[in-house]
Parts: sequence; C-alpha cells; structure tokens
Amino acid sequence: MSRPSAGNRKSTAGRSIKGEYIETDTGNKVSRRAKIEGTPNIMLAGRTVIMADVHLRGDLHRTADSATSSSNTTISMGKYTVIATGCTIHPPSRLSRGIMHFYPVKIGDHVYIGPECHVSSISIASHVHIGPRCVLGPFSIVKENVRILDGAVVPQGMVIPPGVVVGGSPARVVGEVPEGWGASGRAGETVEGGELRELVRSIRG
Amino acid sequence: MALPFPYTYFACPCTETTSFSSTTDPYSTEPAGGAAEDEESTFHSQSPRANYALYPLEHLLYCEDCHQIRCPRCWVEEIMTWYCPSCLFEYANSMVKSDGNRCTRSCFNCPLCMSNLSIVGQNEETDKAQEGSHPLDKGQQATGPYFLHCPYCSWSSVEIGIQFDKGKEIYDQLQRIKNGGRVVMSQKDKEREQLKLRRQVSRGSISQFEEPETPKATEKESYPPDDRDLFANLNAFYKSQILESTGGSALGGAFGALSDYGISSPGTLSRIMSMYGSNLGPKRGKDKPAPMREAQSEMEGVRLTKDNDEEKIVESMQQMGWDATTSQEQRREHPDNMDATLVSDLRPVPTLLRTKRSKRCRTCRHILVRPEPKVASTRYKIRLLALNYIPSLRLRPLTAPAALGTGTPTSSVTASSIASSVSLDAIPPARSLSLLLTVHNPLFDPIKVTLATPSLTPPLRPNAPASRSRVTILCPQFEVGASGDVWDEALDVGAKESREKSIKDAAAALESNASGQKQAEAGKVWERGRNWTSVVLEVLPGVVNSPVPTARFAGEDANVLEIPLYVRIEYETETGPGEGASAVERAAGGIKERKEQRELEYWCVLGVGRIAQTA
Ligand SMILES: [Zn+2]
Ligand SMILES: [Zn+2]
Ligand SMILES: [Zn+2]
Ligand SMILES: [Zn+2]
Repeated sequence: MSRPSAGNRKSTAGRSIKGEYIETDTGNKVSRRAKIEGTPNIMLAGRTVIMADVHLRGDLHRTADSATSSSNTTISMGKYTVIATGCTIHPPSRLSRGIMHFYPVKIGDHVYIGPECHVSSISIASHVHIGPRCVLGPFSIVKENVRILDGAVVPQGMVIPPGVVVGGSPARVVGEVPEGWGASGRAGETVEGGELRELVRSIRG
Repeated sequence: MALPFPYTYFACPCTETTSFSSTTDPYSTEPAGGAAEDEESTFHSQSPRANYALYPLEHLLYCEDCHQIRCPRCWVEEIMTWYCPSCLFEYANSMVKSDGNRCTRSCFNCPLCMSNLSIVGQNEETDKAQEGSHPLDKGQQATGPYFLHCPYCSWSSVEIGIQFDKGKEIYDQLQRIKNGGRVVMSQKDKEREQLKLRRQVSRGSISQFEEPETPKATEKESYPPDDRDLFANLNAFYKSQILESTGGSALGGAFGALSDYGISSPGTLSRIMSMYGSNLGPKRGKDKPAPMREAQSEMEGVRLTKDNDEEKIVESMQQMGWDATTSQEQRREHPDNMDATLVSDLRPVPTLLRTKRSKRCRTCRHILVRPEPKVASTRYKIRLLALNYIPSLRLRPLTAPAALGTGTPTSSVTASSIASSVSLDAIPPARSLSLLLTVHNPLFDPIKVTLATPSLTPPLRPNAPASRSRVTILCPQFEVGASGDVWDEALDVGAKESREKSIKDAAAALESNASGQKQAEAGKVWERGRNWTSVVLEVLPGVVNSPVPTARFAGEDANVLEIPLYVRIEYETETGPGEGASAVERAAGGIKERKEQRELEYWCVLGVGRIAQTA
C-alpha cells in the first residue's frame, strides 16, 4: 500500500478535488474517497468529518447468535469528530469457542484522529487528540482529555486515564495535559483538545 | 516537545529573580557583544536556562490576589486523590501510607516492556485475543488457573513459573508465590511466626545460636531468603529487642545513658525505625535500658555472602547470554527487581498509582487550581488559567497568502498541514520577512499594550554576529479592545472571515505590487477587531553558514529563529464590589465605581521558524 503525502492532503484536498465531501443532513462530511463498509452499522452524531482513504469496518458486527442485543451498531462517533486521511477503524474481536465475536467501537465528541492511525479501541472519550501513525490496540480504552503522541502504540486492553499524555511503543503515560488543555482557542481557531467546530467548518467541498 | 511553527512561549516573571543578565552572551565562548543598546534586561531565548522558564500559555496559571502569572516553579501542589491509572480505583491516603504507591488489586505491568498485563485463563489459552480483565468479559469468564500475559511482547508469567488459582486479587496471590511457583507464607503470617519463634528463643526453650528444628528451617536451606524476608526478619529482630529492653528490668545507670547515643542502643534504633514508619511498642520511660545485641543469623536478618555466589551468577550469564540479562530500566522499575540479574528473576510490576492535585500560589497560598476529586470527573472547582487574564499572541507570516487559506492558520491542529509559500521550516536567510502579530485581549477592560524586542536576536552560533536576525516592530504601542461575552465572540467569527479575506487580498497586493494600497507603515496598527489588534513585525533573518558546532546547538533547536519579545500591558479595572467600600457607603451613593490601575509585564519568545542554512 502506498499512500504518498496522505497527511498533507487533508486541508488542500477540498480545494483540489471538486466536491470531495458528501455532506449529510446532519452536517457530516464524508470524503468520496473514504472506504466505508457496513454503512447501516455506523452511527455519526453529526458534524463528523471522515477524510479520504479512511477505512471504516462497519461490517464487523457481533455474530448472529449474539444478536440478542437490539442494535447492531459497530462504529459510533460523536459530534465534531475528525478522522484524518488513511485511518482504519476496525472493531476489536475475540475468539470464543471457535467463533469470532466483534465488539463495537465508540468514539466521543471533538476527537481528532491523525492521519494513518489504526484504531481498534473499545471506547475513546471526548476531547482526545491522537497524533499521526498511532496504533490503538484491541479493547484499549481512552478516557477524556488525552493526548496521544505521534506514532504511539497503545497495547491491547490498555486503559488511558483522563488528562494524560501517552507516547512510545508500547505506550506509557509520559505526562499530563495542562489545565488549559483545549481552552486556549479564541473564536475562529482550533487547538488540540479543544472544540473542533472551526476545523470541521473549514473543511469544504 | 517542540510545537509546530510559529509558536509562542511565555516566560513566567518569577524567572527574573534568577538572573539572565549577568552576561550579554548566553554562551561563555563569545566575548560580550559591542552592541550599543542596553541588553541588561534582555531575555535570552537561546540560553540553556530559558528552557526552564518558557511555557505555552495554556500551561500557565494566574493568581488573582498577586495579579501575577504563575508557573510550576511558583505554585505548590497538593495531592487530592490517589488512583490506579489502569483500573481507575481510588486509594485512600491511609491505604497509600500503609500499602505503598502501587495498585494492590490486579493491575500489573510487564517486567520486560512495561506494557499493561492482562489476566488470562488457562483454558482459554488458545484464544490469543482472550483477556480476562475486560468488563465485557464478565459473561464468559474463563476458568483457572490464570496467568499474566503481555499483549505487547508476549511475555507470560508462566515463563517465571507463576500461575494463579483465582482471576482476581492477583496482587495478594503474587505475594505468596515466588518465581518458580514456590508458595510461601505471606508477610504477615511470617512476622507472626517469627515473633513466636523468638519468644521461644528468649524463653530459652531453644538455644539462641542454633537454628530451630522446624520444617521452615529445612525449607530455608534449599531456598535462601530474599531481601523482603531478610528485611522482615531484621525488622522483627529489632522489634523483639526493643520489647525486651523496655519490658525488662530498667538497668542502665550512667553507662546506659552514655550508650544511648551509640548505634546499638535501643533509643537510637527506635528513633531510626520510627523514621521509616513502623509502629513500635510502648513509649519508653525516662530510664535508659541496656544496649542490645546485633543480629547474628539469617533468621535475624543477616545474610552472609558465600564465596561462590557471584561465580554462580557469572556462570549463568555465560550460559544464557545477553538476552537473558536484565536492562537497567527493567531493574529500576520496582524494588523487587533491583537485584535481578537474569530475566527469569524479574517479577511482574504492580502498576504505579497516579494523583490528582490541587495547586496553590507559592506566595499567597491561594488556590489556583482545584479539580473535582473523583477520577472520572474532568471538571474543576477552581481553575485560574493565565490565558483568561493575559493577552495571547498569535504570529503568522504576512507574505504568504496561501497560508491564510483554511481559516484556521494559527491552529496547531492544522498548522503543520498547511502548504505555505514561505516554508517556516526553511526561511531564506537575509531576505526581509513580514510577520503579523495578533494580540487578543481576554479581559473585560481595554488594555494598552507596549511591545519591545532587542533589535538583534541572540546569535545562533558563537562568534557569528551574522547569525543574529534584525527585528523591527512597526507599531510597538497600541490598544486592544475589551473582550465581550460569548455571543459577541460568536458574532465575531463572521467578521473574522471577512477580515481574513481582506488580509489575503492585501497580502496578495503586497506581493504582486510593491506600491500596493495596504502597506505596512511604521507607527500604524495593521488591523483591529473588537478585542484584538494586529501589528506588523519586519524581520531580516540572519545568515547561518557554519555547521552546528556543538551538541548544545544541535537537535530540534538548531537554526531556529526565535524572537524575544517584551510585553507590557496596562489597564484600568473596577475593583469588585465590597472591596474597600462598605455596603452603606455604596447605598448612599457616595462612592462611585472604584477604578484601579493595573499593569503586567513579561517576556515571550516567538518561534518564527528555522533559517535555511547556506552552504
Ligand atoms: Zn513562575
Ligand atoms: Zn489497578
Ligand atoms: Zn511485555
Ligand atoms: Zn498569589
């Protein structure tokens, strides 16, 4: 797989390709070049951005025998959440008595997932900023106000507590986000961990 | 952690107490420059010391009583909550005091790679994805025996011969299992046992210097006690000694009094031991008891080194090779692993607890930050952020219309991804560069801003005056309007868009046509909004042609054009109600709104970009 300069495309792409984004009634912006499988199983809360070459594996839902649960949602995303180019969201799975079981992925509001990340977390809370090229292992849990540094590898089942900075491979807590995390944005600006309204608004097409 | 260009760092004024001005040159290799201007009070952005004074604005707090910026050096922290970062269980202070600062439930880190370990049931071992500790697993809990498994490097506690009967309370279970699977008594049981034995010894039923003939003694022969055992033995030994000496007859007299200062005296010992937090028997009276004897056997906590001990270690290292030996990081992770020479000696590391802390001003002790104590809550009861009290500064190149395209050029989220016609990672040297500095006012009062900068930035190389960049602020004094409420802010967005468009047009005109309408003029503000003002900075970047000379210049800081900027703000504000005036006075209407003049000054560093190196 070669995806040259996938990271640099994200803001200029809207200009270079006419009508790259399909905008839904609730204001979701989904790139025509995103690869989305199992669309009925994916819930977008509105004003969510899915950029080019994002691969959403909505088709990986719980097996038929466990369909007792009413909804079949496999991937849900909150408001103003941005999935940058080349990311894969792959629901985590577990083999039990020879049958593969998949578990849904839940992503909160104002979450930014950088380019070329692989996400198999069970939940990512709100105001989380994930740098480029991170791997979030199966069943990992990311709490609120977390910053994940570029290229971090979060091992399977790791719980990242609220308000910390993690990095490295395997990822460890390397610091804490400042008290002003996400609070320094003025009108018309976007800062890490802050509200992503402006960023979502600026993506056109 | 370097921020993407352009960035702004703020220096807390508390750094002024530690002098930057002893020499005009941060590097002692260069003689003091002959520059005419007074550099006595210039902030040296290139000084190695500056790293400890500069913070992004969102890291700083503000004390409302001192009217001053506060940084980690001038606030004090108080622990509110201890919690395990893995299971998010909150530990009471008393528990931390008695059990230490690690999770005592079932959270462990891999002794090899420090990843979190998962608990795996043996019967599910074939399923690699199985992971017992996960909440989703409750329905289909695996059955024992259990072991700890690292999902990152695949280390398993089976490798060191440790398995568990239950899938929970792993910490307690692990305490009773040695590497290799040998089950031992827990520490408390052992202490009780030792005390009983010692009582027998002191009663004379067993001779003091003979190992008592119990099954335990034979066990000890085959397995030498570890450090934990020895410490427990030693601790128990001294406890019993103190008990004996205080409980026994109060002999002593003059010699006893003298010997109380010796190392072997019970007084000294009980002092030392109370320092390490163990509770001792009843407080001694004034009478000085007899000195105690020293520990003599393994049972009393003394380990005698055998001749072949080290030979054995060397031998096993030779046999098993480099990969089987532990790294320094692995040994440092936990006291249990400090003496581990081989990987097979390592034990799983209980997860270190984390804390939630409140912060106080070091000067006036007022609280600056107080989070809600619950781990799950990310809210604050008190949070005095500096960014709500001091103007923020945003820098961007003015000569690059493309950079203004996306509407959020100053955002750190997008800054790195914007294709800019002037790459801030390679600024052409000796070519004039216009920068736009926008000052945002978060206060509800209009402020008067005075900016100053040394006309030449600090040199990027020793003995290379050409590497200094020339900086001119075209309009160093201006006013910024007051901040409004959220609604105004929202309405301002539209205005900002149109403003951006005008900047884009103007900048384009500036580029294409030197005599364009919008020219940056000295003494004039470039643009003004409701609570922001932009001014133009002209920079003539220095020339860097020598390669990076020493390690001190290398790394991410090499060739970075940083402008030290002095900011001074003045404003008039109403003092809060009740301050200085009584209710009666105010009701009488005798007192008008009290105005108070405030001023604040501090240094900033504007990180413009990296100067391209000429060959
Ligand atoms: Zn300070
Ligand atoms: Zn825990
Ligand atoms: Zn490991
Ligand atoms: Zn104070």
